[in-house]
Amino acid sequence: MTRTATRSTRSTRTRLFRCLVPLLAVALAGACAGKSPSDDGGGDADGASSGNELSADFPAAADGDISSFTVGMAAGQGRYDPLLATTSVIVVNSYDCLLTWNDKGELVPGLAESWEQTSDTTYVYQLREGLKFWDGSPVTVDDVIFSMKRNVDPAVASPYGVYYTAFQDVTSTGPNEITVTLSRPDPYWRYASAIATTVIQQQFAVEHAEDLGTPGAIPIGTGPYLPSEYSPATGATLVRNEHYWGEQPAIESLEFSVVPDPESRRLALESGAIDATWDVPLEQARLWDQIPNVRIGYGPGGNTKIFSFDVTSPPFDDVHLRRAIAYAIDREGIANSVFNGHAEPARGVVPPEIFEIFFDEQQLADWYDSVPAYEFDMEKAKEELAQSAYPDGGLTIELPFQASQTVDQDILATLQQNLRELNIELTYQSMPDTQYFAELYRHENLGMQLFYFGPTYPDPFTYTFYMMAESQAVPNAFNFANFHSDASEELMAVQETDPDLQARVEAGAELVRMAADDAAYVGIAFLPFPVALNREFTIDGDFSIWTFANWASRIRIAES
Amino acid sequence: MSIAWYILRRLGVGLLLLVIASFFVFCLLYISPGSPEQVLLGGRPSTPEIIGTIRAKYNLDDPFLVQYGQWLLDAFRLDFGESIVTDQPVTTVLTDRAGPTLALALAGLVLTIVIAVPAGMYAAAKRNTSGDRMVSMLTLLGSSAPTFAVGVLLLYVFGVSLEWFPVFGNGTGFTGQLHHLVLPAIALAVTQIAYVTRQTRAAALRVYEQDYVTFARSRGLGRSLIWRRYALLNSSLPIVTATGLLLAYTLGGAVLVEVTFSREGVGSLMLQAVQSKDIPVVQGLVAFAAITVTLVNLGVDLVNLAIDPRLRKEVTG
Repeated sequence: MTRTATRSTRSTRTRLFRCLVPLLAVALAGACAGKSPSDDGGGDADGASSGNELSADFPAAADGDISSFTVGMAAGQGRYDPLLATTSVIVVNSYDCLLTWNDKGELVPGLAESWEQTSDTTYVYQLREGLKFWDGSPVTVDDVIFSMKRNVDPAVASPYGVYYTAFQDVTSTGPNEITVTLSRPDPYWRYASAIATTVIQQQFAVEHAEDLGTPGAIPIGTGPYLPSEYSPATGATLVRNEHYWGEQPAIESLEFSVVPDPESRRLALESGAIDATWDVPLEQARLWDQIPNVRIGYGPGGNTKIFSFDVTSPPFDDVHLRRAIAYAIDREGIANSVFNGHAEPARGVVPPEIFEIFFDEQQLADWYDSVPAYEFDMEKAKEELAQSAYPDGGLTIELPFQASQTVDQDILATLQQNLRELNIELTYQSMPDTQYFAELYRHENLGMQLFYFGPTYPDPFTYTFYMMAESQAVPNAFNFANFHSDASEELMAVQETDPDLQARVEAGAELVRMAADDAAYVGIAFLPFPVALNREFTIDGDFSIWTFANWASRIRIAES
Repeated sequence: MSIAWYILRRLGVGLLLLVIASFFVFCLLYISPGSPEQVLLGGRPSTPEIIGTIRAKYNLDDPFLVQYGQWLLDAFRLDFGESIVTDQPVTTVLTDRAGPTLALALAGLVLTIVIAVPAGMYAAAKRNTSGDRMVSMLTLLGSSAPTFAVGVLLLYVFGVSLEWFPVFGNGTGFTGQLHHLVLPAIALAVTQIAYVTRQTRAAALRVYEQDYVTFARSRGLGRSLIWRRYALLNSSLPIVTATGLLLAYTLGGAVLVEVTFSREGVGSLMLQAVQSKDIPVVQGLVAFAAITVTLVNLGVDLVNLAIDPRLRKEVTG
């Protein structure tokens, strides 16, 4: 999905990130050249792929508690409510889902100790024994059912309702067991169990229905931390939840401060006033890399910077024109200059590591090789243009870009230069975020667009469905290229309904290849997900894009 | 006409101003593209049903005049609704945010008056000397230094390098808040000082050329007496007006200073609310600004009445 602001780039609940070895950059570059991304893995003993490794820059963790730890945030989160907070960096510490992800992106137990799909449309979850809310009261099946139903309650208007489109009902089927029934088979419901099943205490929520989520009425949860102080404006102080079902984290007092200005945030890091931030402005990477007391980890965030071309209306209904522009994009140059070497030139729109848990190395490499790369080549660009309806160029392309995405201007500037060689004039204009999205979601006169897309769960479907389904080529949806054909819809049908996981993922991989071949969506760069952390601290264990929900529990004192 | 009637009339005009301003801002927000549900969705994928539910929850589909009329009716009952983003009553949000802004505005104003008035008087007294030129040069520098640049410079020097002052936030407790206030107040005051110094110098020069000053001099009155009793008092009208304007402006939101120093005041709230199209909060802020401007202007005029008997005569007839 596209995201509205720098704020949400780093903080959506399923926020993907990895802090990884600089080696991975090499590994991914290797992948672009035809190797599997895991070939150059970090060399860890258990043979896990490199993508799941800590950055080599992060030292080992030492024992000991951290009395207080402050995180700088670019913006407040609005409501303190797992479903309605506008950023999740705070609330993930207070609420748990039925399931969660391990570092590889596989589903593992959360509040549910086990689960089972008993038919196409029924899922049964066994809750852990003895779960307690932070006030010490037991978590009941009714609390879970109430919490899940909030997603479809119009009075709540939960944005997470999008994962509940196939949801029909949830009922208690045993002392510690719930059963979800769907109205139609939805192979992706299993991911919803790790995204949109946060559990809060029913009694408190009902008593405070009017003002739930405001500082005086914070829903009671089960997570490792509970808020002791909260202000939507200035931040929060969280303390450990002594009733937490998992291991107690090292940080005793977890503090959040809103520091909106990026330059002030950088100075706050340098002065030690904050210990970490997820809001590192990528275009300033060069400056941030130089903060002496801070380590910055850059992991691929699963996010892709993408150009889309509306294939249904002129001039971009001409595949040769689209390919000509694709060849004129200097991805290498953009990754190195705009992102200061912290992004990967993209091939297609889905980062290859998304396929890692589904494909073996060979299959992954074969697939990635099959995706057209459009290596920067002005001669090929001219050849393609010569075959198009505009052999001499003479076109003017107008493009809006999102004001908060400051990197976009630099990307567009490099493309503008290259397109001049094709006698194509690219003009671009900054637009406030709300206006940009309002225009984009109107789904009219789409032409060429620049946006970025991040997955909500570790499956290619999250990219292909939103960008390539015919059902999404409508207002308020994401198929900005209006890309769909009979062939693509057949693959989409496999992806949407086939009970066989492998068949679904292969259909997704083929769709990605198809869209790239058609140059409907042209990937520019796989974006890093940055984290800035004071050198006194480190991130413990396998820390991957899928374990954001546990980020605070993994902060430890760095071994000196 | 009595003073009471004068004040009442001014307040009435202020109320009218409030209605007009709120209507225009409401219009602007309404016609500007984008809508709050995108902020609530945070760019997540969505379905028409979910968007419909959110729009219904916040009455975003009501006709324009119905929405405005409802807001106005509630506002007259002092109910400014609830923030779309935080769900808090707008009045609560505003009271939380007004404190830090008020403190910043007053601290900036105190700094400004303490430095700018003597500096301006000095420049006028020593006009065309090197001292005057020095003051003029400094005011030029001050008025052309961008506030955010001054802010970042102060942060770097006194926050990061010297570690004398904290780098962000409002602080807690009286001393904590005062400590957090120093750098922002200076950043805010730099431009204000330049402006008020120039106003003071010009006003004092005008007074200095008046016959009554020449007459006072010819009577052999001391220089300091002339300056204090004649020049300062008579040049204070434009100074009071200028500082009043500055105060009203800052209370309406010292956006740059608040954002640079991460002070959660009215200015940063305005920025966030407009960006997220949080209409109830923006409307609340407009009302707040209109009331502030009205009250500060009234205050300024009352002070001027107290200072200048000629004005007093005009008003009371």
